[in-house]
Amino acid sequence: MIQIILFKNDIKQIVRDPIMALLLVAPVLLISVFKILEVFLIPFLATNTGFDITPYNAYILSFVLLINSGMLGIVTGFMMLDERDGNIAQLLEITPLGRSGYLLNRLLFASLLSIIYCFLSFGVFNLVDVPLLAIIFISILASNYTGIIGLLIYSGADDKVKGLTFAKGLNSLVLFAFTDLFSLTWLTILSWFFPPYWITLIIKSPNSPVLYGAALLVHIIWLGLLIFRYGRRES
Amino acid sequence: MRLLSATWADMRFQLKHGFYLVYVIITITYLIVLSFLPENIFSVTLPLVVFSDPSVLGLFFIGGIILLEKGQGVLMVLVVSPLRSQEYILAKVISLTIISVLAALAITFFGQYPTVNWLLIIISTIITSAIFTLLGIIINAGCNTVNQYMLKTIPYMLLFLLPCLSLVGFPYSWLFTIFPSVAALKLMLGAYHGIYWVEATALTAYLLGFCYLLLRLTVKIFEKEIVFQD
Amino acid sequence: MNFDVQEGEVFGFLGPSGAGKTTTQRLIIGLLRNYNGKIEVLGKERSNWGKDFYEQIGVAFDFPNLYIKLTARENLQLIGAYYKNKAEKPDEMLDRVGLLPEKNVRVENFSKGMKMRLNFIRSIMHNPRLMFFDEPTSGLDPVNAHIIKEIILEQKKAGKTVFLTTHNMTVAEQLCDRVAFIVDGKIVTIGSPKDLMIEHGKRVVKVEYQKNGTLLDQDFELKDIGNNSGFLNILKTSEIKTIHSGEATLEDIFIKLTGRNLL
Repeated sequence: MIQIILFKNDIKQIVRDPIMALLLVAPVLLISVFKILEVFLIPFLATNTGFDITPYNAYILSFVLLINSGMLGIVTGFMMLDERDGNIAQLLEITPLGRSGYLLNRLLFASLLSIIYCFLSFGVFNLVDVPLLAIIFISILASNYTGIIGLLIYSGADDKVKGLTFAKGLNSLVLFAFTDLFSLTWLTILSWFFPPYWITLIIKSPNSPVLYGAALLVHIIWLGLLIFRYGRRES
Repeated sequence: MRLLSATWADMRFQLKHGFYLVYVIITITYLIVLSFLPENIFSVTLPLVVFSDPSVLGLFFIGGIILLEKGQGVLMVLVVSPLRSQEYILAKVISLTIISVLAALAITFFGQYPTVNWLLIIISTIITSAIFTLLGIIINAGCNTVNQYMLKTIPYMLLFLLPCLSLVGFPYSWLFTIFPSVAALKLMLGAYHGIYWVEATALTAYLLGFCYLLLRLTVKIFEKEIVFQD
Repeated sequence: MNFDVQEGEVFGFLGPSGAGKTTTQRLIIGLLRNYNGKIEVLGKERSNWGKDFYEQIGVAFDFPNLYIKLTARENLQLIGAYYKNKAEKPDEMLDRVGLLPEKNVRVENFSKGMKMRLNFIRSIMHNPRLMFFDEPTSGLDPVNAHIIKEIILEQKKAGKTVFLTTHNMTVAEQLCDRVAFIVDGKIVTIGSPKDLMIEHGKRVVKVEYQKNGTLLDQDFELKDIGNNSGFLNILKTSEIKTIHSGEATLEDIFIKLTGRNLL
């Protein structure tokens, strides 16, 4: 019940603050920009340099998904950092909602959006043929990734600027979506430990239960460790 | 000297917040990625990487830095100290530009780019970094949260970066050089691919003039929105 | 609003929240530029002063403004570098407010009171002629509040001028040569605390005494009290518990003038 009330408050806060509302639109903007690039740049490259991008479609899609989910995570992370600065987080933590409720509420909201944008991305970019079941599964992974990024920023940074530094570094995580291209053993093994790698793999081969299991495992371990860390941290 | 003290203070602040560390990591990441690229793509990508990351890092960080100083109230203390607004702003620009230049040089040097005009790399990085940091200070006025700031940068980024696509070349595309971002990118590419010295001088002069005007504008907006609350 | 503050004076600016204290202070400091009327500070119209003005003033806001990632000492060094007047003995000042043992501790680990003390010495280390303090003792324990008050009085002795904004009537009473009460943007009363307390008080003395096992009290006019037989009789025959003259406290005056309770 408290969850629902707070959730409603969240939406109120977002609707009342035009900037926040716009921020929800930012992923749409990003998707549009990529779509424009797809429509104009790819034919341009093909005619001028003879470069065929089709083999890389899965990577591009994975990149768009990860950038969007990552961005939602970053926004949530900064929202929580701002609330910590404004002592709102402290206030909410001593209400019946509690520390874990606060966290759940914040992350759930962003994760939900992440799922929605994931579907949107698949709809807008019909680059790769992926069955619905795989899309649902990937959207769950993407929402998980949002939570991971949000938590990494919130628990890793103790002020806004550190948060920015973190966000900057975390952007490099997206690169793991491409490591599969190089087929280097050491790089592949390293990539196993990072969520973005798995999202690309599942887009490439959406019918492998083994991949599903491994991807879910990696995501859950990351999220679990971060939540555990959050729980142990003194406020 | 106040400007020197302020710059030194900002550099220490940035060091403590891990800017240098994160740029070492980012530089290494870029170098690894670049090393995988085939020769013909590498020669285009490296200059673009330098232009799109180290050169614009000021825009990314300055919002958070000023918001933090505002939040901790330090900005108020600086306002009632003899430190001039212009010195405050220049110190931010200089300190962030130093990181830009170091990162740009490191990526170019360790990337082992074959043909390099080092002086032009330094000049174009300084100018680009200064423009984007000043832009960040202008955008920052009136923002209260990092999220607000990041959102407000989107239209500016589009305004500055979309014209850069004109470099692919089409009839009259040279007209887009009027956009400082395009001029800066041309200068940057010239540092790697070669450029007539007349063109380089003209671009540099144009960009320096733009920087100066932008600085004046930034000081004015900063004083109006942040220093004075009237 | 019309008032002047003499050199070497501690001037208290008292009033409820939202009365215009901060606005006035900001006008004098120069954070609000567009004003009608005249503001003369340190012998010159405020709008004619440039940034050099700030070499001569020190400001401590009611909220500690510090770089929390830096140590106490680094904070002083950093801000101090912007002034021509260098702090002579930063360590001595840190010692004075009891922060010397923590001089190399990052401010983020400080308590609110420690931050307030550091903030306070930061505002005076460049030896300014004119100082603005906003609630300088809020969040301090009595011992540390006492140290701050002592430093303010020392500054006054050295001929410095202090402009103090506060809600704390005890602080105002102890420190200020003159105080002004501000209500809705207007000065309703100005004067020395002592004069105001007498002016707004009752000219009586209240005696509390014990007679036949019961506690009684009685008011006597101060006028000609030496010949008041009732008063003298009680003094001679009863066990006196307390004697108080009826001057008002600044708190009474505040409530009376503003019609509001202290915030």
